[in-house]
Parts: sequence; structure tokens; C-alpha cells
Amino acid sequence: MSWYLLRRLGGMLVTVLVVSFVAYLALTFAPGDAAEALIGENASTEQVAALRSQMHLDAPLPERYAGYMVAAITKGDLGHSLVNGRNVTDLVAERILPTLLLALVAMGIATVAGLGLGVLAASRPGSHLDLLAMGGTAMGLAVPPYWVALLLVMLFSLRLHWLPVFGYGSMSHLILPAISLALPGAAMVARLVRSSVIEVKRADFVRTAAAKGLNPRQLMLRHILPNSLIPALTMMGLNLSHLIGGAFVIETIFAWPGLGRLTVQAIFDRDLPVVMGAVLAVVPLCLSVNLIVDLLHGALDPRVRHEAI
Amino acid sequence: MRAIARVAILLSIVIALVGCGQTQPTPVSGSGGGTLTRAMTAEPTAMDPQGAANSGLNLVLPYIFDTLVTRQRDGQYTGHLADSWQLSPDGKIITMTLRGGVKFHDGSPLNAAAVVFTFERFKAVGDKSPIAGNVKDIAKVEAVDDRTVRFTFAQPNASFWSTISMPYMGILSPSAVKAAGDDAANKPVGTGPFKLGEWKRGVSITLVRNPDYSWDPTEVENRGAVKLEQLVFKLIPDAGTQMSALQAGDVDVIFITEPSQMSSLAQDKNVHVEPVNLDSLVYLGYNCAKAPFNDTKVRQALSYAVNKSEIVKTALSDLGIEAGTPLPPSLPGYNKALSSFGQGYDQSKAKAMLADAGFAQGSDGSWQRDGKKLTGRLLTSTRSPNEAIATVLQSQLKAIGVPVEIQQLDSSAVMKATTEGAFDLLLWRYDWNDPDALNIYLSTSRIRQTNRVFYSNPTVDALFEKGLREVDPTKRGQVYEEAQKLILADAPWQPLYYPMEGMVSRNRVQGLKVGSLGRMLVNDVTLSGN
Repeated sequence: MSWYLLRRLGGMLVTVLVVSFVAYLALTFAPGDAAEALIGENASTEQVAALRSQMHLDAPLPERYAGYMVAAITKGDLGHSLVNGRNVTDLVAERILPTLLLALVAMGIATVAGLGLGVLAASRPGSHLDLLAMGGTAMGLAVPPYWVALLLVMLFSLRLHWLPVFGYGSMSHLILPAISLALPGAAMVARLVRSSVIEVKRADFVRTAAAKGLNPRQLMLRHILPNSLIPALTMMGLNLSHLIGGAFVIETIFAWPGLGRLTVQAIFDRDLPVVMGAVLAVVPLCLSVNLIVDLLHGALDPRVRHEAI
Repeated sequence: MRAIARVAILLSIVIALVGCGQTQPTPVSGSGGGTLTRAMTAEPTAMDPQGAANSGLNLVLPYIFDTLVTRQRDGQYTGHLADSWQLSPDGKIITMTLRGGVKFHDGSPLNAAAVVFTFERFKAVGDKSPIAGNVKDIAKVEAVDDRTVRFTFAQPNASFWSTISMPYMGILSPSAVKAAGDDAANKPVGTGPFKLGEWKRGVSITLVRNPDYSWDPTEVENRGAVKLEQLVFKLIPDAGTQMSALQAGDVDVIFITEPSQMSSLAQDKNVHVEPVNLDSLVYLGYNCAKAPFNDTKVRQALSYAVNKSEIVKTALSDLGIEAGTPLPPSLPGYNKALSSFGQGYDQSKAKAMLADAGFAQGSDGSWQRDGKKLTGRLLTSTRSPNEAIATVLQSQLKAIGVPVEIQQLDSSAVMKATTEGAFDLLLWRYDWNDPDALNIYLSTSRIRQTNRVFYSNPTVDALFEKGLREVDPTKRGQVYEEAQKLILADAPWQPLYYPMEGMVSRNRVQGLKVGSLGRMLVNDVTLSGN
């Protein structure tokens, strides 16, 4: 167990390094740099060059990357924003909470709605209810979240005046962005749960349990559901990375002060330390969730425990 | 379980149907008595007028800081913190008397020492500012007495007035800057109608009323403190969300640049749309250093192929005015008649010019010279509505047999590509409040910098220099008229249109005005119930 964990943690570290290096390279080789982006349209070459050296953008690439990573890992120092000079650790810390809040609430909605709909659809496969649910989930997968977001705003904010159009600070601000973000995840979970419930229902042990006289409710809760949850769990773990990615778009639409919006703006500004700070916060987070999911997987399914751990 | 399913199904049907319904939304009461809320697309990076160069910056600063002079909508400069001034006969010394009784937010008085301090600090920390060069041109700023400041120049500089009217040149309180130390970027203290209340990063900026204010610019009627208690800027990056927020009453004012929004808001009875003219030009530029666009005839030919009225109508829905000259109507030196020196829409002339330049038209309609087909890459940014305009241009050039490929990059990538000369045609714009703009964007000394089209004409360069040194406004205008005639004939740019914005406010907002640079003037604003 500990050996497995150690190996996974080692793998995570390598992944973080590779991803951060790729991000660093991508931003470095993107045309234009922070000095130009910051100083804008009317600056002279001398002005840009002076600013560039002031920002230490003129040092060789490996030196800059190594310097950055060493400071980040040993001292936890993520540097300062090239645009407004603020400490990146503060900036990321300030913005990651709203994003996590949004992603976790969306994940909760996706899980509950997905499970419910999946079990419901699987209870009578082929029925009208099942067809409707599956049609709905197909739409949920096909329709982009930002479009759903706009429709939700039109209905609940502009027509019914129940919820605010945008903003941050209260529960009512959270509802629309979380629902729009949750929709594809909910649809995915629902489809997965439905198919695995149907599959498990046909298994020998379920037939045996039913023959022993277990009522359908107990059968579902004790035998079918736990066994069908395994693939859904993996899906939910993977989902979190999607949610954080999706949050980048949703945050812009709802003016949500999260990490996604910060990162997108930082990319336009070529604000390397801020982009790196965001990468170094999000990547380990997603990897940790994947690890936790794998460990939970082992807890739910003893077979996996024996094989891999 | 079944009940929940029913509700869920019903809800999804309702959502799907929202787009179709057409009920009148009920009016919502605004967000409190004396608070005017405006949406902003981007957040300022800092509240120090001298620290940074971002465009979001001057959105908030003009309400906190006052400048020595104000540029009015008609382009005239009037005193603001300056009461009066005198220009020496050689144009090298300006002696300015300050208005009396003006106090900073921290209670300290506005005096000559504060003005000197502001200019000295700018020279020390203002390297990133777009007006850095112009401020450095001032050789000396000194306090003659408590209310008199003397500016000395090595050479006369006519763009001085536009420089000191910019928000970047707001007069700072020396005592507040010293007290703030390294935190000056977060603690702005000026003499403006509002003080900084709260800055929730990534969310909003709240300004609160300065009750002592009594030195309003001449453009407004209310010469005392503003009636509003608060002015709030809410950060909403998405243009569509800004519209929804306005319609829901979450914000009172938005500025729109998207033609499609203009038409949909024009029908909304709850809002008022005010067109805003900017000191800007959108142009089609040619890479004058790269064959075949280094050939004046080729540039002129392509310019003749451009139908500007089609662009303004189809791609802009009239959110812009057809341009005939490199300078927009709001700047000195503008003269509508000069457009006759440029290339009006004339396809047959375009083709004749190409033939004249040595091109032969093949059976497929394309043009060839020395075995090379006339084609090019039209570079522009992803900023709206550039894509629509580029597409119209592409079809207009195609119509005379010149196929171009559109390349869209983000703004910094476009700037990088143009300084390296990696383009053929460029759809771009400039925003500047002084005719020296032409010097910045078209003079030989700025090639590979802000002269993105590699245009070079020594006669024009000399006129730019003359215009910068001419302090008599009338004579100065004539110099720029001369320069524009030559530029139009050389055709490094085909001026396309003068862009406009729409200032959209809810009906409860009364007395909102537009100032120079498209600035929202709130001094006369009162709010009614809804």
C-alpha cells in the first residue's frame, strides 16, 4: 500500500514538472511578451526594452525556468505578477476558493442529479421515462455549458427575476453558474449509472439475491447500486478536471472572480508568473483527486485492491 | 422519485422554450438611492495614474484625480485645476496660475509644489506610461509662487495640452503619496469628485462622493459636489452578460462596441442609447516594405477596391462613420475635403491601377506580375468586430481578383508580427487624442515600433516635426492637413471608419453626459425611482 502510494506520488511530481514546463514553454514562445502586452500600442522600442530588462524577461529560457521552479518548490515563492506586481501566491489563493466552491457544488449537483436520473432510467429500461431521460442526457452532453448558461440567465434572471445575472457573494449567485457547469457531468454520470445498473441487474448474484426473497428496494441499495458505482466514481474523479476547465468559461459569463478568469486574462497579458501559479495550483489538485478516486476505487472494489495495490 | 422526474422534465422544457416567449419584463427598482453602477470589461491593474499603461486604468482615475486642463468634446482645452496660463512668444515657456481653494481628499491644499511633485514623480516612475515621451520633453517644471507653475521646454511642444489633459497626468497629493509609500498603487488621493471607497479585486470598485468638491470642469452644469452618493464599477468581462445585467437592472450603464448589441438595445424601451464618438480610426494598412505592397500603385489599387459604406452598413450596423482621412473629426487638422486626395470606391480604377503597375489579369481573374500571383495575408486581432470587417474586405478584394487570406491573432501577437513585418495587409486601429498620432504611427523614426506599416516619407516626417513644434492651433491644423494630403496619396493606410461606442443607460439615470475620450461625465446625474 505505502509502496503504491509512494510510486503514485512520484508519478504526480513528474507530471507536475512536465506540465509546468510545457506551460512555461508555450507561454514563452507565444508571440509577444508581457512587456509589449503591458505597455501597449504606443510605446517605443527603448521603452519596451527597458521594461523587459526590468522584468527580467531578457535572461535565457532555461535559466528563467529553473530559477522560477527552484524558488517555487523550495520557498513556495511563485513570484510577482508582471502586470500589477502583486504576489502570485496571494492572487492564486484569493481566486482558487471561488473556483473550488463552484466546481465542488457543480460536482455535487452532477453526482446527485446523475445518480438519480441514471437509477430512475435503469429501473424500467425502454420505458418512456427512460427514453426521455436518455434524450435529455444526450442533449446535456451535446449542448455547450455557456449556451445553457445564457438560457438560464434569460429565464431565471431576466424573465422571472429570481436570481441575479452575475456576481459573487451569496448562495443565489452560485445557483446558475453551478447548474450550467454541472449539466454535462450530470448527463455523463446518468448515462454511465444507467448502463451499469442494467448490467449489474442481470448478474448471477443479483438473481440469487432476488431468489432469496430480498425486496427490490434492498436489492437496489445493497447489491446493485454499490456495484454499479465503481465506473461512475472514476467518471466523477475525471469530471473534476473538466469542471475546473469548464469553470474558465462559466466564470467569464457570470463574472465569477475565480482562478479561470484570472488565468485567461494572464494569458492575454503574457503574465507568466500568474499563469504558472495557476498551473501549479490546479495540476496537483486534479492529480490528487484522481489519486483519491483510485484509492476509493480500491475501497469499494476488493478485486482492485488485490491486483494493483 | 416520479414527482421529481416530472419537475425536472418540465423545467427542461421550459428552458428550451424561453427563447421563444415575448413577454414584457417587469421593471425592477434600481440598486439604492444614490448609487450609479457601471459595468467594466477589465479591471485596472493599479490606481496609481503614473504606474501602468493599461486601458482599464483611465476608466476610474478621472473621477478620483483632476487634471490641469480638460479637453472638451469639441477638442478645445479649458482650464480645470489651472485657472489661466501664458505662453512665451518663443513657445518655450508656459506660466500657469492654479485655481485657488482646491483641496485634496486628504485635506492638503492644491498648490504649485503639488504640481511640481506630480511631474517629477512621473519622470521617475512613469516609464510604462503611454505619455512618458511627452512628459520627458518638458525640461523643467518649477514653482514660481504658491499658485504659479512654470513649464520650460527645450523646444516648443504642441502636444503638451493633450498630454496634461490625460488621466495619467492627474495631480497627486504629495503628502498622501509619501504616506502611502510602496502602497501608492492602492491608495489614490486626488482632488476629484469621488474618493476611492472599496476595491474588491476581481469584483468591483466603489467610489464615494467628495462633499467638498466645487471645481467642476466647464462642460457640466452642476459646479459643486456630485449628487450621487456612490459610483460603482462592476467587473463583467463578457459583453453578453453586461447586456443582461443592464436589462435586469443590476447595472445602470454599459458601454457597447458590438454592432449586434446596438440594434437589439435600440428597441428596448427601458434604456437610452447615446452614440459616443472616439478619437480613433480603423484602417487597412499595407506593408510598405514588402513586395508588391512597396509599390504605391498596388496600394492605391487595393484601396480603390474598398467599399467603405458597405463595411459600415453590413459589418458595423452603423456603429461607426465612414472615414476619408487619417485624422478623425474630433482632432485638429481634420478636413473632410481632404478625402479627395485618397482612393474612393472604384473597381475599374482599381483594375486599371493594377494593369498600370505591370500586372496582367489571367483567365481566372487573378493578377500576375513576373510570374507571381497578387495575393496576401490580411492580419488582424480577434477583437470584435474585426472578423466581420476582414471578411467584407476579403470579398471586396476578391471582387477585383485579389484573393487574401485572413489571419486573426490576439492583440499582443498582432503587435509582435507587425513590428517584425510579418504581414501583407493589416486591419488595425489607433486611439489618440492629438494629431501627433500621425507622427506616432507613420513617421520613419517609429518604424518597427508604432509605425506598423513601414511607411516612410521624409517630407511627411518634416511636417510631423513642424506640427509638433507649432503652438498656434490654426497653423498647426494646416500643417497636419498638408501631411494628410501626402499620406493619402502614398496610401500606406486606407482609412476605413471612425469607430463609435454606445453608452447605454437605464431610464432612471438622468443627466448623464459624454466627455472627451468617451468618458462618462456623472456630475449632473440624478437618479429617479426606476
